[in-house]
Amino acid sequence: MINKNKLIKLGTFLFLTTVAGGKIYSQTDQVTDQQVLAQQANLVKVSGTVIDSRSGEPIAGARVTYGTTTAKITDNRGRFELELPEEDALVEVSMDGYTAKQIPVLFDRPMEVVIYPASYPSFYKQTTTVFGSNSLMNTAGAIAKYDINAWEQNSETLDSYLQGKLSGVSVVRKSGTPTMGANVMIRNYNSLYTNNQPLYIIDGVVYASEIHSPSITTGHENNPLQNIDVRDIQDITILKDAVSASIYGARAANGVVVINTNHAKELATKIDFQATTGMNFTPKALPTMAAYAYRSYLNDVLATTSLSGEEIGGMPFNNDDRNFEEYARYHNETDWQKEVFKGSQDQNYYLKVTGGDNIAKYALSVGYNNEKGIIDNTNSEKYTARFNGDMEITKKLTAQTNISMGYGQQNLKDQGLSPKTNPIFLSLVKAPFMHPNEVSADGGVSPIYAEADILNISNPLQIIHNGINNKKSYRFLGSVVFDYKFNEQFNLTNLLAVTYDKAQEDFFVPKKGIARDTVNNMEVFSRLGTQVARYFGISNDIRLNFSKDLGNSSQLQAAAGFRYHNHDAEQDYALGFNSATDQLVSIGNSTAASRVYGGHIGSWNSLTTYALGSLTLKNKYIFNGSVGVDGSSRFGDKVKSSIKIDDKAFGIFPAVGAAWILSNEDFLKSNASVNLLKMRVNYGVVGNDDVGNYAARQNYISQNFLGVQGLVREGLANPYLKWESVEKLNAGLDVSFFQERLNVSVDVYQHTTRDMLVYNRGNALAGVAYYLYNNGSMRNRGVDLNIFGRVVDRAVKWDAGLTLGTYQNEMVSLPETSFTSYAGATFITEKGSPANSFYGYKFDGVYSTEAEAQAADLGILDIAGEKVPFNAGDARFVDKNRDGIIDESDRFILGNPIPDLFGGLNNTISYKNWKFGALFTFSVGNDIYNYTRAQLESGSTYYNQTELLQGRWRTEGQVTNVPKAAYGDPMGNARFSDRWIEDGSYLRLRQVSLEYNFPVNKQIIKYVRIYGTANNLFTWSKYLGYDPEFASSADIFHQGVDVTLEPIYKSVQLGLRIGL
Amino acid sequence: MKILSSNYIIGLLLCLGISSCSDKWADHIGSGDAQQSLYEVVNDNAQFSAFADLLERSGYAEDLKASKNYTLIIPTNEAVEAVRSNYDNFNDSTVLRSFVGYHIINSIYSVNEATDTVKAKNFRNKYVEFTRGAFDEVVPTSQNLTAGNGIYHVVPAALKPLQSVFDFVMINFSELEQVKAVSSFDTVITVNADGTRILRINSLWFTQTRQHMTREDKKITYFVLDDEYYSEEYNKLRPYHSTSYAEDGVRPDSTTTFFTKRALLSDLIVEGELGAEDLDAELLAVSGTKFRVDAADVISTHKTSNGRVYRVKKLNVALADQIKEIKVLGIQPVGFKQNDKAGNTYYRNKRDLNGELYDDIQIYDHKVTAFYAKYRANNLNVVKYKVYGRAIMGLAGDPQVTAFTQYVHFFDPTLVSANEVDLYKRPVVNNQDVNDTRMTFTVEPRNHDEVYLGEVIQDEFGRLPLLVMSNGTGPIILEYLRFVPILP
Repeated sequence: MINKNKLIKLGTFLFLTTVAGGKIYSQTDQVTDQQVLAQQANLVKVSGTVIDSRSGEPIAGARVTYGTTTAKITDNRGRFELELPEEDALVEVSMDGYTAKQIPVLFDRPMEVVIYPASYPSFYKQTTTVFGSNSLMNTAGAIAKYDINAWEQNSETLDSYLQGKLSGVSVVRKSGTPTMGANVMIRNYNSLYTNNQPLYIIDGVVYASEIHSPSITTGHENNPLQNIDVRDIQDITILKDAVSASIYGARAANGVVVINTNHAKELATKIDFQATTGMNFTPKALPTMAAYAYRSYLNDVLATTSLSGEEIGGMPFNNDDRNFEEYARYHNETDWQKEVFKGSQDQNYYLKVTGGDNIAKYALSVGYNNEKGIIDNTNSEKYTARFNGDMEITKKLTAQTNISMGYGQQNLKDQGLSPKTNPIFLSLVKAPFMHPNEVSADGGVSPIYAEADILNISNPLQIIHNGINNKKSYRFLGSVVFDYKFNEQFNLTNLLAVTYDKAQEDFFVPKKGIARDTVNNMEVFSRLGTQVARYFGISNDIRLNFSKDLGNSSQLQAAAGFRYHNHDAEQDYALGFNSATDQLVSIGNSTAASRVYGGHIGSWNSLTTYALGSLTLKNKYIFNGSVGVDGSSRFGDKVKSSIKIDDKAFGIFPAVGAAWILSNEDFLKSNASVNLLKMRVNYGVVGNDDVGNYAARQNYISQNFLGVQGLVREGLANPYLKWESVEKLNAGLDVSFFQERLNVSVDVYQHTTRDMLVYNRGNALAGVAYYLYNNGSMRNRGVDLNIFGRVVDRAVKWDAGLTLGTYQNEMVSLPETSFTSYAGATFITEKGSPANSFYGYKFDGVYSTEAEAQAADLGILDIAGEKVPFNAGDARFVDKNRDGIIDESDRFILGNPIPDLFGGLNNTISYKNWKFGALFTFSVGNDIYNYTRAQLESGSTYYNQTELLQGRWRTEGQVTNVPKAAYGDPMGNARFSDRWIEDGSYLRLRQVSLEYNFPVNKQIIKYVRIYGTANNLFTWSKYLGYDPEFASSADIFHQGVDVTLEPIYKSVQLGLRIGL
Repeated sequence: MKILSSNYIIGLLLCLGISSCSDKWADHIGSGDAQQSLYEVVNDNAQFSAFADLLERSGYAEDLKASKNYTLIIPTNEAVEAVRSNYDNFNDSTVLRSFVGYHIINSIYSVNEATDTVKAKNFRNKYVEFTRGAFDEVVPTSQNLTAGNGIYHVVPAALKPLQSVFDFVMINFSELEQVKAVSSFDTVITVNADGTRILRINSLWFTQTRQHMTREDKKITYFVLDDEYYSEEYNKLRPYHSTSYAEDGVRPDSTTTFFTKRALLSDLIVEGELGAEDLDAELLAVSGTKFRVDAADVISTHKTSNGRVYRVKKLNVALADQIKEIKVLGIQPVGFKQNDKAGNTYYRNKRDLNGELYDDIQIYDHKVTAFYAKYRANNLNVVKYKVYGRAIMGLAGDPQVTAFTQYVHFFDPTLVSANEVDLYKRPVVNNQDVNDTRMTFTVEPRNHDEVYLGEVIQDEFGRLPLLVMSNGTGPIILEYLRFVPILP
């Protein structure tokens, strides 16, 4: 079928173009010209009708084009006629506001072409990716595109917005805190100890989205994506496989998210304005015990301490004498969760102006966002501005500027593992008989909040009202693109970008009302801290592009380029304790001896040379090839690599792919029900360079020893340290049925990480217990499925899209089984199993009687190695090795946080001026370690517990599943076991929106729309926590652990949009 | 139409959502049958209505509503009716509170047939004994039932509130001389300048005698004697306890009568609750006096909350067991000639040649002529004592290996009672008074035996100060001095 000679010529051409640029250009031009002339000899006539999917009526004025030579406009009845030179030709049917479509021509009968509005998802979409502006059709890669229209969802950040919309992209929102964002995993994590978040490319610039400096507010992360307003985004394209991403070389292992922001499309001035107000709702309270039941529990626990019955009886909360002077203080019924969680209102304004003339176009937008959290007294205020300009300097030289600025100011509170200062945690565990405020003997309530109680539990309202956690963050991202068009085939692009980011944080934990602590052998009563984190990045990307229509329905695109990226990050912090009074809140007021200074600097460079080519033959066969050659200052000097420049190792990341559009073949093109069938397969290698800025080098850190500052060696140099490589194999199928009414895209893939960083046991004599080295391997296999289409197509239009993802993770090789622990949980990572599996004991009920406990003959070993038997009321654990001792060798794999299936169901229903949208998201089969519940049902502390503890074992013969209360848990009844592992599956009505478009006089005003949106309206889950969706960080070893973060909450918004 | 149906679906899902949300915690927590408080348990159960009534009237009902943890022993209606007449229909509020409070125990005590006696303190500060599944021998009909603020057991017979030994004898045997003697210690003995009267109980009396009779956490056996025998014993012991303090003087707790009574009364208490079968053996009083009881002399026995009272005619006790020997330990000096020799003073814990452990004092290389350590022999009776001493030296590692002499010095008895402090101001070394007694204590190497030192007369009940003195600047070594009374 394909001319062999022609192929060889083209192959040679592709190679030479990418390597040598324009030198051969004149020769190739001649070749194609000859071909075109040769084929104009015998013309064939085709005819057809273009139909609008919305009305079902023919469209007049649609363009029907063939290559650059033939173009026709449809007549009033939507009909067209063309004369074409070849039988397997494709014609493109396009119309403003509609997605252009390339379809194979039919000669035996008139064609019927249905075109869809641009908002309808389609395989025929144009996308601007690394291949330049191109049709999705012409790639062999696994690419998903999503057109953003996020006006209704302005409370989202970019990462959380992606949830449920793209198949194989697992998005787990970190918490309900505004701007917190989400963990985005494109086909699962590919690495244990390095970055596993995708690379974000915004307007062609590699966006610094890594979190360089940890926040000094516990449980918080400064999300670099918060400064992008989702309304500024035009479209998002996800590059999941290797061939579409390998030009990003050692940074593309986790997939690439390509984002294009709004540019002016028309010359006319357009103004869009939006104003929104929102309400946030507090979550359903966890059923902790009320004062009566808690007091009984507390007395039970106290009875197991060294305190005597008389001492316990003498405690003020046990004194029920109304004349007792502290009676009013200790006899209340406080719903602490209600005190801490408060509903709140959001405000949001956004203005966008676009326009220009035929020399310069601009798109300017400014936004103000004031979002409040549901923890009382927290909020996030955000200002964003973006200026995108397009300039045509000469006919051949164009320039584009993309400038964005963001400023955010946030009032936060500690969250997560911070038992003395996390207000949510405190609201759960604090004694309900205490009053939030100071109370006088006669019951008078003071406006002053109460001190920490006698059980040494802080008053969460002190944290909320008198504590300070203030963050200010700025980001500037500016880029300039020059594009010089040599001729029809060649153009040279240079992109220069600068990123500046700064985050400033201050916190103060007051003395009054907060439980005291001991840090470094010092009694701590107030805590202060401040931090400045700074990032500066500059990058330049120069690229030569080549594009040519080869005729004969064939075309070629190629590019080669060179990218340099310099990063410079710095963090400086100071932490101190014990300021003189609670009015002195800045770090300088802490006692000098207690102050600790620290921080880090990180600066690194990367250098990438890349080339890619894409060849489409006869509109049926697509070949893609790309390669990235990546060097980084992070890599060691002695790395073995096939390419070394100036003695530095460079990683090579090649990828190839092929696709076959079967529906353009003769045997299928006349099929009425199957309109599109495309098979794709590709293979390649991408890398992960996040091996640590200085891990390959020997470095020193400063350390304080007895008041003297000195330098100590941090680690041994590992000059063999290199990038991780991920081998990606992907096969996919895109099918479209019934004139695009039903579309299915399915991908199967295998990602194998090689040279994965893992901890190796070091030589203890050298002072190195463990070191990182590239000798691990991991594999992910999975399937992505995306089904979308129009369910109802009458007066009511119902578009639905279902995305599904599933994968299996397996450790292929590891130097040794590793155990990690977090929040009291143990995780195992061993060969043959998924990484990071929960590893703990199996709980098997409670011994009801002494006789039952004796018969079981199980025990634990005390420090002296003596067996201590379990008694009645203790938990029964499964003795795996049957040695009568419950110890570490009796642990089982209890599950893992990876879902079996996840995805979303997106619906849009429109009827006349009404538009209704609903997004469901779901996750099935992921396990959660409920740390919060483990604290609330341990029965071993003074913490308030859930009502479950009312059924605790108390008497001989009592049959229950709740072990007895015992202070300090001497028998380990509350140890990490499957009692705390829960099914985290959920189905959530993530977002519902209803919009009404007012009929207006379009001469004066373009549109007036009013809409309402509800977020997270319903969540169906068996999970016993506030919410089953959370992530305390992006670290693998922290996944699936509920450490009491601000839960994701329900909210509604009411908004108005006006277009002028 | 389509919109309507989708609304309907959403509505349906909404209902599902609400129900599933509320169910998951209910499923997890369970039905919770233990959530009634003890107060509600008693009130809601018709079987306990009589006790509920008593509970309300006694005022303890409020406590059972509180959320501390209790163990409640609930007598059934029949059980309450059975004892109603015994308590005069509970008309007296004290009796009522005593009865009800006896059935309420602080904290949780479950009944377990496998465990031996557990004592649980009830609201009356008495101890209820849980022995092999029974309380004070009452077997519960149902047991270990949980309530919101504790557990409860149901008994077919009410528990009997008992008096302590002290209260029992004070009420039942108040006419007896012995009991009058006991109560005489509880009388007002001090009048302040402003006329207020305070009860000052002698502390030794309190710890050695009275406390045994009142404390509830230990059991005792107490013997109550016939007046005749009591007087006989009193008269017999009186000469050995004579003092110079006037009977109606400023120190009523230092008179001859006081000391005699105290000695006699503390001889009548035996630790532990003895049954009739235990009386055959030789008994040991808390004071250390040995005696026997003839079964024929037992008139009656009485159970009390903290032990058993035996009303007896007499006891068989020898004078030699009542007037006891006294030991003064070398390691318990009360002072020294001068205070700067701590570095030369060794309190030693050693093994003698037989491998037995002993403690002694050694004062060595002190370089003070006639250095001495002060001691006191306490509670010496008015009688002549033989004095023996033991001091061991010459063992491996000892600095002193050759024989040496030290002295045991007693002061003029007339000066002793006048003022002990002044004693030491006298230049005892050179001016030994004619009435002073100085015994020579020759210490031979590796001698484990006691050395007889001489005799000393104590002419007033109480303490006897003495010195152990070096010969020149020689050493002082002493394990103990033993005072053996010479009795008729």
